Amino acid sequence: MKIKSGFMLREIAGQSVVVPLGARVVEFNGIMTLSESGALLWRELEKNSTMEEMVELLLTEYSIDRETARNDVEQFVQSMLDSSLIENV
Amino acid sequence: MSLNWIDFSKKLSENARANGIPLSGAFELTSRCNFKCKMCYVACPARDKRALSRELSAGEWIELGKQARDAGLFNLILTGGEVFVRQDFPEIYEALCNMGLSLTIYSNASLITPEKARWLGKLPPSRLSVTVYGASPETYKRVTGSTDGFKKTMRALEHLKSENISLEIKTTVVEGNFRDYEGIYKIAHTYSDNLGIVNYISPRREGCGSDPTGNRLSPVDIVNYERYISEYGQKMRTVNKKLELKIGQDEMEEQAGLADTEDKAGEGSAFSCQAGKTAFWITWDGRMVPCGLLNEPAAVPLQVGFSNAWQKLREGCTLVPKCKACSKCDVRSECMACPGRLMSETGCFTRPAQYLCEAARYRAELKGQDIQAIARAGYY
Repeated sequence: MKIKSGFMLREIAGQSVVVPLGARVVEFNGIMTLSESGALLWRELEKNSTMEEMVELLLTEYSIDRETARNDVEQFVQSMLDSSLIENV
Repeated sequence: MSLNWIDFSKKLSENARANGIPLSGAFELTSRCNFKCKMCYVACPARDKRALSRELSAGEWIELGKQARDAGLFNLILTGGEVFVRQDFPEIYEALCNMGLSLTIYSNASLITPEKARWLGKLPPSRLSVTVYGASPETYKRVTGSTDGFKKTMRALEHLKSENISLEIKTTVVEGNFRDYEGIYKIAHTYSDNLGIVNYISPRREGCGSDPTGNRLSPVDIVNYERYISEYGQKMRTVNKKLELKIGQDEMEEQAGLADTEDKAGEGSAFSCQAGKTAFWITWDGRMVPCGLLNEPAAVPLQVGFSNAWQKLREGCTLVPKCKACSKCDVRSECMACPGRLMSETGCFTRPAQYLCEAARYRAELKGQDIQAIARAGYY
């Protein structure tokens, strides 16, 4: 899966947010705030990583078990799909 | 979690203020305008070669946009003059659109053709703020010097509406148009959900043949205008609740969601607004200043870099002295005084301005009369 073109992760005044660029504003007139781990996963998605690679990243960065990491990644990906920010390739 | 722009900006403002982040700014892309409003503080003729030669290039504005974005900018106003007199405005705008900024365009709209409206519809700003100078061709001729300005503006509003552009209507109140307030209100009602009233005309910041103070309303008349349009607005809201009136509200404060909040961090500052705290203004010739009214303190970001200029501006703003007489004045809650207006009116930060004082006293007097009337009616 990959992030659709026309979205940018920015840190604005200490807050990680995804903002639409250019023509994307027409379909996504708003912004999405991300937690610290959400921003980490977004950056991983920018590399077109798989869900398994994102799970491994969370296990490296946080003291959590594999099942929790997998649940977190699945929730994150579903949220991104629901908001039409990413697409399956 | 999805938020709208305003809620999001409000959430960030406190952090920006605490950390001195330039969250909001304005790029004054040109001093030139196709209208010749006598009350304008920056209105050189559209083909003024001297002004044109001193304007920053498209590439310089785009570079400033990148540097400002990297320093934390989010809310950016693009203003003039009239931004659409720049042939390269599309180049500047499209580049800024791809930087992750929330863009607001200020325009008189008269140069927005159907083609330009379609182009904006594909790359919409967060808001397009259109200043309407009257409700008839005659008023436009009187205020802007343009015989077809009214027709062109109304056509542009139609095209922009059909492209679903988020519109704000504003009006600048002067001798030549104050009688049009009902008509302007109706125009705003047709195209927007809010009407901004610019109720203060500053003496000119720089010379372009304009005469702002010769065309603004007297202190008594401007306060009367505020009351008339407020009462008219209240009457109209009983019919349709859509339109919100914003009298004399600062755009950058509003964007930051701070219009109604107390700036506790700014208690020691002469500025009650965000100027030099989270907001800046860059003039058409590339000077970073606190706001559109002030020429000082200033820095030149293209020479020293945006972040260094911002730090210099922040430091400069902390050195601006408060007006002690204003701080002690018993009608200060009714007064529009600020460092920019005091400097514009008196040439000094610390001297009360007669125009502002008279308006504040009259506002306080009317408020007192209202309270007495309510008391007589038995509500207290």
